[in-house]
Order: sequence, then C-alpha cells, then structure tokens
Amino acid sequence: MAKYDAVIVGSGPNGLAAAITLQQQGLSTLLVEGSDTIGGGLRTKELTLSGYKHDVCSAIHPMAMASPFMRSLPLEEYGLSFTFARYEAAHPLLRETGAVLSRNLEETIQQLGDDGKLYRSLIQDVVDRWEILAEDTMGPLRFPKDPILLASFGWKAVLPASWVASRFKTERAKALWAGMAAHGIQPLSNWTTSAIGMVLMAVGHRFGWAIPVGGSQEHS
Amino acid sequence: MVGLFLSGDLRSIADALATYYLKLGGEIQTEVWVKDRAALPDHRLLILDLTPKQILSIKGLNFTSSYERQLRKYRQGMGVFKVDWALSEPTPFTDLRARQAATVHIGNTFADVARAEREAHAGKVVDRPFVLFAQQSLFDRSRAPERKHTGWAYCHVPNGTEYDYTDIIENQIERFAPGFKDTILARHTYGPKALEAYNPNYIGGDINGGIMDIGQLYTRPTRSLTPYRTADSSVYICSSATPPGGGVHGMCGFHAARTALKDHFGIIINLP
Ligand SMILES: Cc1cc2nc3c(=O)[nH]c(=O)nc-3n(C[C@H](O)[C@H](O)[C@@H](O)COP(=O)(O)OP(=O)(O)OC[C@H]3O[C@@H](n4cnc5c(N)ncnc54)[C@H](O)[C@@H]3O)c2cc1C
Ligand SMILES: Cc1cc2nc3c(=O)[nH]c(=O)nc-3n(C[C@H](O)[C@H](O)[C@H](O)COP(=O)(O)OP(=O)(O)OC[C@H]3O[C@@H](n4cnc5c(N)ncnc54)[C@H](O)[C@@H]3O)c2cc1C
Repeated sequence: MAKYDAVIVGSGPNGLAAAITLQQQGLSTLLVEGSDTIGGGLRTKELTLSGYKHDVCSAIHPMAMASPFMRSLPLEEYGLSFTFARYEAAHPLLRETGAVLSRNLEETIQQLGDDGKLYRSLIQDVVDRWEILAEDTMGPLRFPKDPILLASFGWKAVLPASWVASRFKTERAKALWAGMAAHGIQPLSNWTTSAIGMVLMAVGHRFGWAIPVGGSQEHS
Repeated sequence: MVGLFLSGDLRSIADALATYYLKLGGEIQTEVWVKDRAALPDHRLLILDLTPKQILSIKGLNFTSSYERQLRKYRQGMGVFKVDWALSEPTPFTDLRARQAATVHIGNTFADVARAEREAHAGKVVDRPFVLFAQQSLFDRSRAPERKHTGWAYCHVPNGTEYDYTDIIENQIERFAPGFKDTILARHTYGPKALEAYNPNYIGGDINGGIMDIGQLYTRPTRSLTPYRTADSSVYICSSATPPGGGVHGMCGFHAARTALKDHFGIIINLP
C-alpha cells in the first residue's frame, strides 16, 4: 500500500482545488510546494515598504465568485471575506467620457446610450444563466447540459473581439469592450477573444469583481 | 512544515483554501521543488499543478515519446511586466469614476488597445501599452498605512523580453492621472524573467499557463477531450494549462481530481 493515494505538486489555486477534491472523498493526500509559502498565484507580500501589502500575482477575482467549485466550499467559515468597489472597472478615455463596468447591469447599459441594446444582447443571457453556462464552459469539452444556451453563447464567444467592436457605434462602448477582451492576452483579431470579454462582464454583473480583504493571501 | 501561512489573520483565498484542506485531513509540505518523482514519498497518483515545459523536465514520469512531442508543441502566450507601487495618495485619475473603480483599464480607445496588443504580440516594444491597473487599498484599508495607498499594474509584453517597461507603464498612467508619478513613494518590478524565477510555471512571464487562443482554449495542453490525463496513467495535470485555463477559479484542479477519482477509484462526483 502506498503511503499516499495522491501527491499534488504545486499549491496554486488549482493544486489546492485538486487536493481538496481528493481529500473530500477520503483519499490520503500530500500537497507539495517548492516555495516557502503556499498559494502560487495567490500571494500577498510587502514588496515595497513595510506596511504596504502587494498582491504578487492575482489581485482581483472575477472568476473566484463565479466558479462552481469555489462556491461549493465553506470558505467564509475559514476567514475569507470579499469587498467590492463602487465600480468593478473603469475605462477612461482621453478625449471624451469613458465607460465603467458596474455590478448594476442597467447602470452599465444606460451609460452606453445607443449601444446599450447591443450590450444587453451580448450579456443578458450569460448573466441570467451563468450557473448552467459555467458547467458547460468552465471545464473540458463535453456534451452540453444546455446545448441551445451554449450555442447562443458560443457563436458570439467564438468571434474575434474586433468584429463585435465594429458593431458598437460609440467609442465608449468599443473601448470598454476592448479592455475586457484584452484580458485574453492576445490580439483582439483572434478567434474566441469575445469569450473572455463576455464572461468577465457578465460575471461582473452577476457576482461583482471580488477583492479579498487582506490580499489574495493574508500572510505576514 | 505547515503553519508558515497561519501567522496572519486568516482571511485570504489561499489561506482559506489551505485551512479547509488541512481540516479535511490533508497534509502540506513546503520548500520542496520537485524534480524527480522517485524523490517523493510513496504514492499512487501524481497530480501536477505545473505547465508543460516543467512537466517535461520532471524525471520518472512514464510518458510516451509521442505524448512528450505534443507537450513540446504547446505554445506560450505573451508575458507580462508588472509594477507595484507604494503611493502617498490615491491615484488622481481625471475621470472621477476611475477613482471609484478597483480595476482601471488604461489604454484609451479600441483602436489604441487593439494596436498595443497586436504589436506586443508581434514582439514590439509598445510605447503606449494597454495597462491593467488595480487600486485595492482604496477599498481595503488593511493594505497600506493610514492615508497611504498601493498600486498594482501590468502590461502585456513579448514573451521573455528583458526590456524594462517601468517608465512606459508610469507614463501611460500619468496621461490619464496627471500627478500620479509625484505620488510614488517606492516601487517594485517583476519582468517576465523575474516572474518565471518566482514561479517556474510562468514561462517567459506567461501568466495564463499557455496562450488561450482557439487552438488551445479547450484542447490544452494536448488535443484530447480529457486533457487532464497524461500518457502515464498515474499522472494527471491540473494547472491552468488545462481547461478552462488561467484565472483564480480552481476549476482545472477540480476537473483533474474528478477525472482521477473516476479512473482509479470508481468514484463519480459532480458539483452541486
Ligand atoms: C470562459 C470561456 C467560455 C467559453 N465558452 C464557450 C462556449 O460555451 N461555447 C463555445 O462554443 N465557445 C466557448 N468559448 C469559446 C471557445 O473558444 C470556442 O467556442 C470553442 O469552440 C473553442 O474550442 P476549440 O478550440 O476546441 O475549437 P474547435 O471546436 O476546434 O473550434 C471551432 C472550429 O471552428 C472554426 N471557427 C470557429 N468559429 C468560426 C466562425 N465564426 N467562422 C468560421 N470558422 C469558425 C475554428 O477555426 C475552429 O477550427 C469559451 C471561451 C472561454 C474563455
Ligand atoms: C502578475 C499576475 C497577475 C494576475 N492577475 C490575476 C487576476 O487579477 N485575477 C485572476 O483571476 N488571475 C490573475 N492571474 C492569473 C492567476 O494567478 C493564475 O491563472 C493562477 O494562479 C493559476 O493557478 P495554478 O494553480 O494553475 O498555478 P500557480 O498559481 O502558478 O501555482 C503553481 C504552484 O506550483 C509551485 N511549483 C511550480 N513548480 C514546482 C515544482 N517543480 N515543485 C514544487 N512546486 C512547484 C509554484 O511555486 C506555485 O506555488 C495573475 C497572474 C500574474 C502572474
């Protein structure tokens, strides 16, 4: 008999998630981390001056709140608390009024004027039916739970962000969209760059972009 | 070996996850960089929160040469250049709503952002990059001394570049927040190489665990419907180099574990 049913190497959010999932089923597991602290992309350190706590990697957590896995855990009981800003994100412009992403969908739509309708058509379904969509998108490809919903999301998500941008009329909406899609870390003319934009905006309306109190890791 | 992270106020995501894991009976060992499977305690399954380049360098994995070839073909995306600041004041954005947002997307119009991303992807040094800026201390007072603040930002840069983007990033912020540079008390930078040294998963500063384009969005790191499995039936990958990719959501880890439970223990689990 092996000492451990499983050894997990690396204690980033995914290593922790795998370790927790196996341990929850009664397996015996060991999580091994190279660094002197756990957390991977979830560490907070005094990188500049004493008393200033900087998130070394991740800082803002749109996907943590939107993750079916994270939501299944009793993390508040283990001290996690989130805070939120007045606006999830702002996209200032130099020559005219910029745009914001607010948790409030209607407020976000209102500021976009003529483009509000298109914005709603991109986002509303994803906001309303995130739980089902998350099951079909936040994992491996498989037969979808709701093929029609997935198809109606997917045909837009697969498009280059630049195509969708060309359908917006106002610079404000185009810019807001660009900033969201650019989280995909690739040219906005690439296929599927709309997916990340749609998801980030929709989970912003649904759950907010969470800021963990104390940093991604409260470690002194 | 444990306990290292237990000193602070238990509040963060990492600490909450780890504390929960320990409560379930899990064990944690830090300060061990794994290079050879044989050096690990006796175990049945190995689950790797690592990206492909590192996985290829670990000894003792029973991979076929065709599987290794697939891992070698895995593509990285752009890197990031990151700067953290200690600030004497909140960042003086001209747009007042930007002063009330946790994240500020700094890059002006669609055309400017699109050009910046295209050129950085093509390997150029971009003068006016798309800067992702966060100002957590405005909303969480525990981040900085009284009346002081923190700033966090990065921009996308060519993978592995050694160019210093500090001035470029600060100048870009200054355009939207005149006076920003005068509020800087101290700064710390991480270029792509430093990020990779900090966490060897970030190859060339790529923080998404490999580019998430159409060829690698769901078929990562290999072309399989269950890419958590490897050619060694006792080894699984659970990092952001598997679906659904980068970001703090734990879904890669959940699905890797779910697959291993089904393959080796006949346990089928689903999320509520
Ligand atoms: C969080 C997240 C969630 C996502 N959710 C979904 C989702 O629910 N459904 C979904 O479909 N996508 C979703 N995407 C986008 C995803 O990129 C594509 O939908 C998916 O098809 C990619 O899978 P694949 O790379 O295996 O591509 P494949 O299945 O191989 O991609 C489809 C093929 O069709 C081609 N193609 C795609 N679109 C077009 C087009 N408009 N015109 C011509 N050719 C085209 C591509 O070049 C490609 O060869 C999501 C992305 C993210 C980041
Ligand atoms: C600058 C930056 C900003 C980011 N901002 C955000 C953000 O705001 N929001 C967001 O959602 N995401 C953000 N991310 C992305 C997010 O941090 C990652 O997608 C996420 O951490 C990936 O999790 P993971 O578990 O796959 O791997 P990681 O978090 O990379 O964890 C891997 C762990 O394995 C350890 N390790 C590596 N090799 C070995 C070895 N050989 N032996 C032992 N241990 C090893 C590492 O030390 C690390 O602890 C950011 C990343 C960076 C770098």
